[in-house]
Amino acid sequence: MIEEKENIVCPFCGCLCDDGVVKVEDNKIVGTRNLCRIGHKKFESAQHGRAESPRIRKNGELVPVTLEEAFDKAAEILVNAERPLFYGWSATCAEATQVGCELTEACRGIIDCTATICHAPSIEAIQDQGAPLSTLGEVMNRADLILYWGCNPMHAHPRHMSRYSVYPRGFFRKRGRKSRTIMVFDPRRTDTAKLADLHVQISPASDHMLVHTFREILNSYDVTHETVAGIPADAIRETMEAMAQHQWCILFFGMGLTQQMGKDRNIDVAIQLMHELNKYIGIRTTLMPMRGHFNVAGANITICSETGYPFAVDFSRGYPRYLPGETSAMDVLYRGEVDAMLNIGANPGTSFSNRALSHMAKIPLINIEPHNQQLLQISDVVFSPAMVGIECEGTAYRMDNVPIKLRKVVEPPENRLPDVVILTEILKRVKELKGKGA
Amino acid sequence: MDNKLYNLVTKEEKCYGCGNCVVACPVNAYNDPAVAGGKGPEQLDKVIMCVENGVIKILNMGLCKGCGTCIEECPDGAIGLEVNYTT
Repeated sequence: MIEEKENIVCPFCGCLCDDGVVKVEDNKIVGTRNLCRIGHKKFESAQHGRAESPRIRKNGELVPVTLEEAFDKAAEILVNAERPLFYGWSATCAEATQVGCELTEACRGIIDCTATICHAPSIEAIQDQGAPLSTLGEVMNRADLILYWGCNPMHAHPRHMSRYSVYPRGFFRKRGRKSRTIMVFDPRRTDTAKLADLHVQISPASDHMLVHTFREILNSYDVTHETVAGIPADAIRETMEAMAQHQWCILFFGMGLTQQMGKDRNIDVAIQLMHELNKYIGIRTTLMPMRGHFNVAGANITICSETGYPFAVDFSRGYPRYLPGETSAMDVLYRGEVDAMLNIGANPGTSFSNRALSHMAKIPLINIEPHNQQLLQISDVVFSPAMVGIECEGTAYRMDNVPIKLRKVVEPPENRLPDVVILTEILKRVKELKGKGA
Repeated sequence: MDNKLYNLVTKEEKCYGCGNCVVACPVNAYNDPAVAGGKGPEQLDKVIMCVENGVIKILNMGLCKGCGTCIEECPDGAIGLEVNYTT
């Protein structure tokens, strides 16, 4: 008999849609409702292609071993390392990240999350300029001007527009889409741009100039160039005038802004623009990064609450140090400093550069990942955990930094422990070995 | 419902399951307050369509008045309106 489990939170993207219905028959997921294509695929494929657990590399081959043996081996690798790297944390729960911070401190290693290659510039800019943030609920109820800059939610966060920002009828925006204006700033004609009232098709890598030009107009300076970022100056003035007709504005931005030339400086000026729109015109303005993994915001928040810094935290001196560009995952891998690595809730096999991966292939690698992925080829210890939000509970943070409790939908397969339990067992052994003076 | 003047036709292979059409639809929003607020439908017998298994599915074609709002809000042409001239 098919059982419909309601109000299931989708553990895929930063939207964390909490109205999903998952159909379960004999502990098998057979269908979903209200979830987008990506969310459906996450649930549908959760029980297929699972990595055998646990395994250790012996004579070049990954061979199945007992959990105890795998815990011992992982602890031995971490204790013998001088500068271990603990990377990932975006597709696991906040509780696991807490244990991960303790493990990093015990091993005097470096902890970094996937934000290091996506929204780290946003976090640095927020540290520079402050963060005029809001929740997605406020956006739904108040926003009448929605700017999407360098992001394409129709592909990356498919339900973002229908669930939170554009289409819902809010308390002050009773007509939903008709009460709001959508502007998209993107060099490409994306599917999001097709739905916008205004698509500003800027030249690639010229976001910084365009934001500065908006600021020039706001601050009553003349725009001296005829075109900026491929847009005629008059069109930029008209866009600014159109923006000024609204009451409550939100800027959603993605990789197009954070990983372009300028990086955190792009977000710096975007925050200043939001501030000046508020100051000179009186539009209530906020901005929000479009976080990718379902708990990448939670990884930053948890690491920050545990160590004082949001990512790239180095414990090599026994106390936390934060030096992005120096202690971030890519940099320590490029310099070849890392002599052991633990990967959890991320897939560096597809997102890291060849140079970083070639160093990872040389060092002992502990991989905590439910499915068979590229990184298994160079892993030395492999754990296949229970999937957070599908096979075990946990806490995740939505892109607006709201914590949401993930629910258990089905029972995990045999020998699959939650990430928290795996990390706690490794931590226990590391402490024992450190106590013996290993 | 084949004798209606308008019929909604869907192309599942093009659908992202974003739910823009479900939430934008005025009939859905009027009949189900959850949809008006952006959530998935809670009363399946009162809405025209919902997202099932990641793609759009028409549930109650008889409720559709042929306004075309859903078509405007789909960037990929996954939902369309078919005019039945023989009616």
